[in-house]
Amino acid sequence: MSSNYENPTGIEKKFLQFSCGREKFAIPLMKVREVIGVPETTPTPFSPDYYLGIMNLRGKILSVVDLCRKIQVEPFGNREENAVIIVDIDGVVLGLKVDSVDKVVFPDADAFVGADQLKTGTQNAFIDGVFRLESDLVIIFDLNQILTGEELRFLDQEAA
Amino acid sequence: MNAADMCFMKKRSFEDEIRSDFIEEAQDNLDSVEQAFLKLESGDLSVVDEIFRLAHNLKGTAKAVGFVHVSQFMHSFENLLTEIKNENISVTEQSMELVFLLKDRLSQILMQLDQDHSCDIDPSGEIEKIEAFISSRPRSRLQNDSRSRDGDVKKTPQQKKKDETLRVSNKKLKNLSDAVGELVIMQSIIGQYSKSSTDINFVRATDQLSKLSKTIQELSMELFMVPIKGTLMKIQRVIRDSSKELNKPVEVLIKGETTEIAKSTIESLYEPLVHIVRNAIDHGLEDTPEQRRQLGKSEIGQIEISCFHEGGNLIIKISDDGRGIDPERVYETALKKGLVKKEVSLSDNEKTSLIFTPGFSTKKNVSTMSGRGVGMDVVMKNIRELSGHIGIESKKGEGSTFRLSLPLTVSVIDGVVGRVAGQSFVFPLSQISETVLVGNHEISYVTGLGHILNLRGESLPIWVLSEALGINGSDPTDSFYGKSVLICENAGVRFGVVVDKLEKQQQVLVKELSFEVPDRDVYLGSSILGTGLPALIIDLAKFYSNKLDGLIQISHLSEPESHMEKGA
Repeated sequence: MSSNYENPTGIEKKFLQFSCGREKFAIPLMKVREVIGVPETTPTPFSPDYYLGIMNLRGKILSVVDLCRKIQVEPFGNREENAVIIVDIDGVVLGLKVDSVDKVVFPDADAFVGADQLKTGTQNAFIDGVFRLESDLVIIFDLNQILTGEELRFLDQEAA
Repeated sequence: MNAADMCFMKKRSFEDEIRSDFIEEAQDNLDSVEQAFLKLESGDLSVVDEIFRLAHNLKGTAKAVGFVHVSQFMHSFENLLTEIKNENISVTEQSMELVFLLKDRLSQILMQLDQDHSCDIDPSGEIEKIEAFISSRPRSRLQNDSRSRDGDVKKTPQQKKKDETLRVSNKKLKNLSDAVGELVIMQSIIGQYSKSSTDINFVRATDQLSKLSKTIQELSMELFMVPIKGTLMKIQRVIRDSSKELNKPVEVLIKGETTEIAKSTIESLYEPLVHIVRNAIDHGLEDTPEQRRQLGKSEIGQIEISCFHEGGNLIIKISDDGRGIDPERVYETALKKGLVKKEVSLSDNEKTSLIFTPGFSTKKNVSTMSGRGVGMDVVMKNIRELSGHIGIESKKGEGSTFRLSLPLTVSVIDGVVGRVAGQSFVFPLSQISETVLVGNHEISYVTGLGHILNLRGESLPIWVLSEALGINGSDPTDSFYGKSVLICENAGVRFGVVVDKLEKQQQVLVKELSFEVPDRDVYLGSSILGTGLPALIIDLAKFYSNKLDGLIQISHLSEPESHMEKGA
C-alpha cells in the first residue's frame, strides 16, 4: 500500500495529529470539520462497543465512534483531554473520539516513511502512510476504514 | 358503440382536461401581460415582443387543443402586433383602442370557452377589423427591422414563467424545512419555561413567538405542498384503461382534487392508489353490466374518490358500488392460510380487514392487473411507510370504501416519549392505539411464548422493551407494577410494548438516521428532545415484525405447526 502523501501539494500537506493510547496518529486536515469536547451521546441498542451512539451537533445528528477502541489501542493519559474530532468523509459526517488532540502538523516531503517498510500484520488495514516528526512516528489514519468492512457487514446482516 | 366505449369521467374527458388547462393557462398569461399592454400604451415598444410571444404561443396551443377559432384570432392579432413593432402602425389612441378591444375580446372568448368548450366562437368580426386597420394605415416607413418573425419567436415563453415562479433545489427546501422544524421545537421548549415564569414581558413575548413560529411552520410546509389533482388525473387514466380492458364501464366522481399534499407523499401514493382502484374495478365491481342491472344497479360502475384534510391528515376515500367484501369468505381464506386462529373472535369489520394481512390474496387465478402477488398487504405496507393508515368498510352487495389517512407533514410527527432503562425513546403516536398502566396480575408468562397481557379479556403478546433492546438497567425479574404498556396494532394483530414510564406526548421532528447507525431500520429516525439529547424513534411495526422471527403467534396455540409469516 503506497502512501498518497509522499508528494503532497498545498493544504494536503497539513494534518491534525492526535493520540490513541501512546500511539500518535494523524488525519488530513482537509477532512476535519471541527474539534469538540466529548458530548453526551444517545447509545443505540445492539451496537458494537466502539460505537458510542448518536449526538446532537447544533441540530445535526451524527454518529460518534470511539476510535481508540475501534483500532484496539489501550487508552492512556488524562481523561479530561479526551476530545471528539468531527470529520467529513466524502459527505459522511462522523465524530471520532480520541484520547487527545495534539496539534496541526506540516511534515516535509522527506519525512514520509515508505509504506513497504511497514507491512507487518493485519492491524495495518487502517494505515494510510507514516511520517516521522521530531522523535515520533506518526501513523496516518485511513478514514475510509472506519466505515468499511465490519460496519458494512453488520449493516448487511440487519438489512437481510 | 359498446359498453366499454361509454367509459367517460363524469365531469371531464381527457381532451376536456387539456382544454381546461389551456384556458386556465391562457387566462393566467393574459393577466400577466396586462402590464405590458399598459406600457405599450404609454409608448414603450419593447413590450411588443412579450405580447407577441404570448399571442404566438396561444395561437399554437389553441390549435393543438382544437380551438381553431382562437388560433385564427391569434394569427390576426400577431399580424397587428408585427405592424406595431415595425412601427408601420404607430402607437396612437386609435391603435391602442383596437389593441385593448382585442385583448378584452380574447378574455371574453376564454371565459365563454371555460363555460362550454364547444361554444361557437366567431372571430371573423375582429379579424376583419384588424385587416381593415392594417391596410388603412399608410406605410410610413420601410420594413428595415432585421429581426424576422421567427427570430422573435426564438425567445422562449419560459421568460414569462420566470416572473411567476422560482426554481429552488429540493435540498435547499429541505434545509429550510429542517431548520423551521428545529425552530418550532425550540420555541415549544421556551414555551415550557414561560409557563413557570412570572416575568410578564417574557410570557407575552413567548406567546407572540409561538404564533409567529406556527405561521412560519405553516408557510414552510406549504412550500412542499402540491394539489393532489395531478395524481388523480393519472389515476383517472388508469381507471379508464382498466375499464376498457375488463369491459366494465365505469364512471368516476372526483371530489377535492385541489386538496394539497406534500410532494414526497404524492409520489409514493401513486402506486397504492393504483392498486386500490384496479382492485375495485377488478374484484369490487360485478363481472358484467348485466349482473349489475339484475341487481338493480346502474350498468355503469360508480367509483368515487374524495380527498380532504381532516385534523392534520390527508384523507382519501375510494368507494365503489360493487359487490362489497364478504367478511366470512375473507375469514375462511385467512383461516386456511393460517393467518388467524379459529378461537379468536372477530367482528365483521375485523374479518374484512384481514385482507391487509401479509400473505393474503382473494383470487385463485391471479388476474393481469391486481394480482401477481401485489395485494392489499403491500398497499398496507406502502401506506405504513408513509406513517399513514388504511381501513376498509364494506357491505356485501353494496360496495366497499377504502379510507386512507396520511399525515400532512412527514417530518413532524406526534410522538410519545417513554423512558426505558434510564433512556428516553420516542414512539409514534400513530402506531399506538392505547396505553395502559399495569399491575402484575394482568401479565402472565408462558414458556415458549413469552409474556402475555390480559387486556379486558383479550390476550396480547407483549415485549419488555428494555430486554428487547438489550439495555441493561432494569432487572428482568422486576415486577410490572406501575409500568406502562403501549398497545399497538400491525396488520390486524395487536401486541404490547412495555416501557418503564411514559413521560409526555409532544411533536417531534423526525431526522433520518445515517446509514452507519446499527439496526437503523428499526427506527423511524431520531429526534432532538428538549434536553438537547437525540432520542431514537422506534418504529413499533418494524419492531414487531422483527420480533416474529422464530416466535409462534399466540393465536396458534392449538396449531403448533403453523407459524406467522414474517411481516412484510
